[in-house]
Amino acid sequence: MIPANLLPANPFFSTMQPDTQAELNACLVLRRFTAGEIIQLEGDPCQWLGFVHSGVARVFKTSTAGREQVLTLLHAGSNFNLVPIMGADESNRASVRAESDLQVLMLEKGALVTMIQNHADFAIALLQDTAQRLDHLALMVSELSLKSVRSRLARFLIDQADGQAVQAGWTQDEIAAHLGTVRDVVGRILRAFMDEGLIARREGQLLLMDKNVLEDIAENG
Amino acid sequence: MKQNLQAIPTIDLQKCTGCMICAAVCPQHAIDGKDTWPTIPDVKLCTFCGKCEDLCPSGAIQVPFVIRWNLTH
Repeated sequence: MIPANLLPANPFFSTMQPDTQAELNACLVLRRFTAGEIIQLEGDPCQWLGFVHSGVARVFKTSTAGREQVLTLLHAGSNFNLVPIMGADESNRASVRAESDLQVLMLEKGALVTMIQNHADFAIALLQDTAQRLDHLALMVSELSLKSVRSRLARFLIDQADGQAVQAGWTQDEIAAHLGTVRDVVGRILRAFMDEGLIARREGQLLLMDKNVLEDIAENG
Repeated sequence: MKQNLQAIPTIDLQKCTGCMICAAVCPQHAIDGKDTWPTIPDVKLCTFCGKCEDLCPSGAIQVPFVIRWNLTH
């Protein structure tokens, strides 16, 4: 049982019917994590579907060499673990870490199946969210396979500056983890962008100087 | 969204090999290379140019930044 005021404040649940929210209230469990804490590891058995209630969580995969690929950052209303909990292989597909202090609402498999069977608004919300995630992953696959790191970095910088996914305190390591490459490559391309006058570093800011050229690089390499 | 966060450069001493290239290339002499490991005694001297991060062979230095459009012209 969770406090009754939580679900109306959560973007995923807020528009659901009162009876749906009431039943969810009875079966969701709230857990708190501190920034940097590992929530789950890839390959471990998956026992629940998680909904971020507040804070930011990072979903990532790690290679045997220790290289990290960020799959997505989850904000309030996002969920994770739907694929393993509904699939035949019930092991976590990716690791999840708290980027900030985090609250997660957890729903066990039995309760999840009951909710899907009994509440169409809940099932549709899950399907819509899954469709958006598939779109995101399809775009990521397309970018990783068809575009150069130079193009992907240009797109990443534009997206960040446009405020579509704002984060303070980027490092070259962090950017590399988002782009599926290594720090050295990010550093070299950033230096090349600086030499070409496309970006500049000033007092803790990386400033984008030429939108047209960066857009061209993002689209055409 | 944190608009004005001025993050602090960090040196990961588990990755640092003590080569002191960072201290040598810092145009502001903000990095002290006289000891066994580099340190940044006065962060206010750092202009966040990123040269130390670019040239660190072990990836031990992180100079965080915020990504923004240049709105000055």
